[in-house]
Amino acid sequence: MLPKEANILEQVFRKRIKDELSGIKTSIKIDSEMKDVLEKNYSKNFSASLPFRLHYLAFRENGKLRIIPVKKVRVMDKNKILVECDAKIKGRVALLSCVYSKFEEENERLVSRSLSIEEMKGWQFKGFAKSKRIGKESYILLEVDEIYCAISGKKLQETRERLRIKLIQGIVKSFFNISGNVAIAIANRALRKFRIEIKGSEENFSIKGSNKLKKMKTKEFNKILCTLLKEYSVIYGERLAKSMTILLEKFSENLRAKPKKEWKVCLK
Amino acid sequence: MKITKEMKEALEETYMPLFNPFLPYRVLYLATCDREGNPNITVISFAKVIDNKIIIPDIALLKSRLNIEENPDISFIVALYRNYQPVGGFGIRILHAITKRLISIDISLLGRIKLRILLTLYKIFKRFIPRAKYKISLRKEPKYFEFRGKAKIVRYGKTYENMNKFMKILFGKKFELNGIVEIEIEEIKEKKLSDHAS
Repeated sequence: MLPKEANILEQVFRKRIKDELSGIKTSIKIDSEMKDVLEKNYSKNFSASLPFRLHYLAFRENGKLRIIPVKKVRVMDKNKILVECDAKIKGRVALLSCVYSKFEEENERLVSRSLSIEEMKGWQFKGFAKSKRIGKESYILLEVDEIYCAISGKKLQETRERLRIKLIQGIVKSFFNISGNVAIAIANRALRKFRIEIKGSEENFSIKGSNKLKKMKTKEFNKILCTLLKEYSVIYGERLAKSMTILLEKFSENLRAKPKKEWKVCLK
Repeated sequence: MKITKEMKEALEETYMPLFNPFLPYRVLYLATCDREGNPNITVISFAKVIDNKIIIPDIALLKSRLNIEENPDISFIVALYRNYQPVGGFGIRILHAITKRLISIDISLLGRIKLRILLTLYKIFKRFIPRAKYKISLRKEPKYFEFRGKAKIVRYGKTYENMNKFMKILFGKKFELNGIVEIEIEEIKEKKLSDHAS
């Protein structure tokens, strides 16, 4: 890899880490306040001056985005939530839980989202979900990896693994100008192969292995990349081979290397 | 897909939180997702229907705006709650003559006492706001509406300017709207809203 590209990559790395790590926790813990909002029984509150709570779940079903009201949720672990839901869900979901209170405000206040902070509090929990059956009831088990404030939209907590994936997504998008799951998966694998580690906290962070990347020659880099792509074609099959070839071309364009022969990913 | 009168009312009506515990509370949620398919939900407090399109002002829509720019697929939900129960039963609807706002007061269809309360409220309103138009209506079974379609951010045009003017009345002359979210409806789901809130 050319030193110039390696420098750019490192700069992108550093900027993204600083942006992503500012003011958030890198582990997930559903605290007692959140647990209260998620689990507490508000049904006895018959007066509108007392709070009531709503749960809504957004997910993708057959490629279409859906949002449904949810009856009950239970906190299973510090990062796991059991949601009572009939829909068969697999993949990434977002669960919004809000408590509404104090309705003595003026009419106009309902119009303003930013002014209605005192009226509601809540969080948005994002993560991967799996369908589960307990007896006759259908549930989904949500493994939370991101927590956002429902009102300000600010990110509060995020797991290190999710952060890593997002960082790589960002790097791939900004440096190689490509996106998509295949590109991210390949870039992720490539970084692992280069033994690049992102370590540290908001104030002090380091990137291990970036020197190794600088010293690496174009030929060597291409060789590793080629091996990786071969591995991927074996794992994921033929339909990805085409996109991988395009990806490889883009990689070499970015590296300013003159490919001696045309790239082609073959299946073995 | 066409937005019916009932849906339009649910989307646009202002529910005035003055008299407890008979008042409904309306919730609007907008779900968006990015290019990779990660969903995101936002709380919306105001929507309007113009030419069979749902218009939402972009007030602090951070992630949703980015998502719509990446992926126009959205899902939008409107539901009415009265405390912890969904809205149903009798109601008075008042179209205020001065503000042109439609205000609803709902009372569930349980017993004569509540009907009496409703009539008393109607008399009080009639006495203090005689110029308003009144209508006593029977609400149908509580439901929620799920709209699915394509959204886009609009920063110019007549609809945007009208919405901007309206926002300036509410927030002052200095307020400038970032844009509006225009939703073209592709699919509408109408479902019974059992006791979801608790």
